[in-house]
Amino acid sequence: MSLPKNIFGARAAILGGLAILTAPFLWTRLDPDFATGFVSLRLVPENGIQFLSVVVPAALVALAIAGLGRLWARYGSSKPLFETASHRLFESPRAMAATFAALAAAGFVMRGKALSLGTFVCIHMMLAIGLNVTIGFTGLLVLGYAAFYATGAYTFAIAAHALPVLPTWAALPLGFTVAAGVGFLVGLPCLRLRGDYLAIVTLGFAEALREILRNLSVTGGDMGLVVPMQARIKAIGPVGQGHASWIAAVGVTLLVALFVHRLYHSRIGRAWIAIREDETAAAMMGIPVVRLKLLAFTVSAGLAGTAGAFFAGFAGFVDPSTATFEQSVLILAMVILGGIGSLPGSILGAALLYLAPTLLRDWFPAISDYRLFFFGCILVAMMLFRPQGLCGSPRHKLELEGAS
Amino acid sequence: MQTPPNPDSGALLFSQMLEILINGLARGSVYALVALGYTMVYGILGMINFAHGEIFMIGMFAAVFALGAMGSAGLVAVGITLPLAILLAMALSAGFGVMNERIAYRKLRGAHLLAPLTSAIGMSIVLQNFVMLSVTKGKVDFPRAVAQPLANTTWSLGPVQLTALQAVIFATTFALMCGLFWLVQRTRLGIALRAVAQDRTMASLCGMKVDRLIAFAFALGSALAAAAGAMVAMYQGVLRFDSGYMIGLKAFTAAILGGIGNIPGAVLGGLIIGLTEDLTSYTIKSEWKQTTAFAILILVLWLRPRGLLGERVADKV
Repeated sequence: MSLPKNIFGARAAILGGLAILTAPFLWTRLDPDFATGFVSLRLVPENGIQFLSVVVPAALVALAIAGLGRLWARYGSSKPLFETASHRLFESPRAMAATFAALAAAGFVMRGKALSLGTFVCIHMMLAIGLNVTIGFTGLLVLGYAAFYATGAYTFAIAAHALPVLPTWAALPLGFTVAAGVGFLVGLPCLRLRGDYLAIVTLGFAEALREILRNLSVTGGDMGLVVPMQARIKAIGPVGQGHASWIAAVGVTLLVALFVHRLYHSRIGRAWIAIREDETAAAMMGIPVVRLKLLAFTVSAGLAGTAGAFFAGFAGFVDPSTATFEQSVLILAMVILGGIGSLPGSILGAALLYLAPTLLRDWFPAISDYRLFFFGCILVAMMLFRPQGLCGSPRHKLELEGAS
Repeated sequence: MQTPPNPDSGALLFSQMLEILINGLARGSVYALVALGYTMVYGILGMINFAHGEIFMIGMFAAVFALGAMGSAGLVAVGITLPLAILLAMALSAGFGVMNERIAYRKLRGAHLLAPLTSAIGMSIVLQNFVMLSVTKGKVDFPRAVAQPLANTTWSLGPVQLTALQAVIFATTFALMCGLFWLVQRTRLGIALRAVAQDRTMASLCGMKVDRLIAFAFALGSALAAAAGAMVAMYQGVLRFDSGYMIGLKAFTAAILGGIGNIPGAVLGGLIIGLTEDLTSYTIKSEWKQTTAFAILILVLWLRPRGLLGERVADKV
C-alpha cells in the first residue's frame, strides 16, 4: 500500500519532528539516585500534559486573533485595524498632546495600584520609544538596552546620595546625559562595523555592567540602593504621590515622544531612514553613516537613561535586576510587536506587553511562568508572519522581507 | 616573624602557571567547540545564530536523559554509557538545530539583518523556557557515578595533575575538531559547504542542494555544541535551563575574537577566552570574569575589527 505523498508535507514533517525531539523533555522525569550516584528515567506524562494544556489553548487564541485580523483586512477596511486607530491618536504632535492630556486626566479616576501600573507602563513607553530610535529608525539591533536604563537609574540614585540638595527634576537631564555618554563610548568601537556587532557588544556590556553593579560597594551590591526621600517624586499640594507620579510620567513620555517625533521628521531622521534602507547607498549619497549611527545610538541610550532616572525617582530603589537580559528582551518585544520604526507602534506595544502579563498574572496566576516563553514565540511569529508589527507601514514590511 | 625564603617558590609559581594553563585550555576547548557552530552558520548565512547557546544547553540535558534511559535499562558501565550518551546528545541537538533552522530562519534568508537575528533571539528564549517549563526550574545533577571516577583519576604530568575528565575533554575536542577540518577541507560535502558559503546562488545553479547543505551545517554545529554541552555538564556536575546563555555569549565572543566565519579562528579564540578567564579568576577575582571577557571583546573590535585570523572582506553590494 502506498500512502499519498502530500500528507507528509512540510508542516506535518515539522510537527512530527517537533513531537519526537521534545518527547524526552515533555514525557519523562529524571530520578537521581543519591546513594549510587546514577540517574534513571521514568515515563511521566504530567509535565507534558501541563505544558500542552497552556500552550495549545494559547496557540488557538493566537490563531483566532490572526484569523480575525485577516477577516478585518478583507472585509473591514483597507487599512489594518491597529494602524488606523493608533495613527489617528499619535500621528501629529497635536494629536499626541491631546491623547496624553486625556490620559493624564484619566488618572484622576484611577487609584493606588492602577496608578503605579500606569506609571510603569509610561516608563516602558519611554524605553520602547528610545529603543525604536536605534532599531526602528536606523536599523541597528541593540540587545542590552536595559544596561542604559540601569545606568540612568543608578546615576540618579548615586547622585542623590552624594548631593542631598539634588531636586527630583534633575533626574531627567542627569539620566539622559550620563547614559548618552556611556552609550557613546560603547557604540564608538562597534558602529564602524556591521550592524549585528552592536547587538552582541551591547549584550556583553549589559552582562558586564550587571556584574560591576553587583560587585562594587558604591552601587550597593546585590541589594541595590535606596533613593533618599528628598529626591523621590512627592505629593504636591492636594495632588497625592500616586497622581503626581502619574502626571509626571505622562508628561515625560509626551516629551520623549515629541522629541523623537521631531527628530524622525528632521534631516537627521531622514538620514537614519536612508541608512536603514541601504547603508552603502546612503554613504554614497554623502551621509556620514558612522557619525549618524553613533548619534542614533547615543540618543537612544540617553532616552533609556531618562526612563531609568525617572524609575529611580518614582520607585525609590534601584537594584541590578534593572539590567537583566529579560528586561532588554521585554523592551525589544514591545518595539517589534508594535512595529519596527513606528512611533505609535512603540507606544501601543509597550502598553500591550506591559499590561497583558500583569493582568494575566492577576487573572490566571498559574501561567505567569509562561510569560517569557510567549515573548519568544511572539518575536519569532512576528518576524515570520508580520515583520512590520501591529502598526508598521507596508514600507517597513518590504524592507524587512528584503527585495528578492 | 621573618619567613625564610622559600626555595620552591619559583617551581611553585611555575606549577601554578601550568595548572592555570591546563584548566584554561580545558575550558577554552569547550568554548572553541561551541564557537565553531557560530562561525559555520555565520560563514554560510551571514547571520548570528543566537539560539546556539541553547542548543548547547539542550545537549547538556540530552546527555543526562540518555544516561538516565540507559540507567533505567540497567546499563551502567561508564565505558559504554558515556560515549553513547554523548553521541545521543549530539543526535538530539542536531535535530533541534535543524528544526530551528527550518522553523525560524529559512523563511528569513535574504531579509533585512534584523529579521533573522530577532527570530533567533526569540528562538533562544523559547528553547530556554521550554526546558524550564517542561523539565525543571531548578538544577539537575549530572549523575555523579559517571563523572566522579573520571574526576578522581589523576595523572601527574611533571609538577601538575591532569584529571581523566580533562583528558577526556581534550581528546574528544581534538578528535571532533580534526574530524571537522577533514570534513570541510577534504570531502566533497565540505567543498559543497564552502561553495554555498561563497555564493549561494551560484552553488544552487551548479546543482547543489542549498537547503539541505545549510541544514547540514546547522546539524554539524549543533552536534559539536552538544558534545561540548555533555562535557561541561560532566565537568560542572550541575545543569540548568539557563546554563547555555553565558557559554553561548562567550563562545560568540571567541568566534569574533578569532575572526567570525573562520574555522581555525574560532578554535584560537575559544582557547584565548578560556585562558583569560582562568587567569582572571586566579589573579583578580572570579566575579570579574565576565567583565574581562567583555573588555577583550571591545579591545578586539577596536584594534582588529575582523578578528585575529579574519580577512578583510568588502561588503557585497
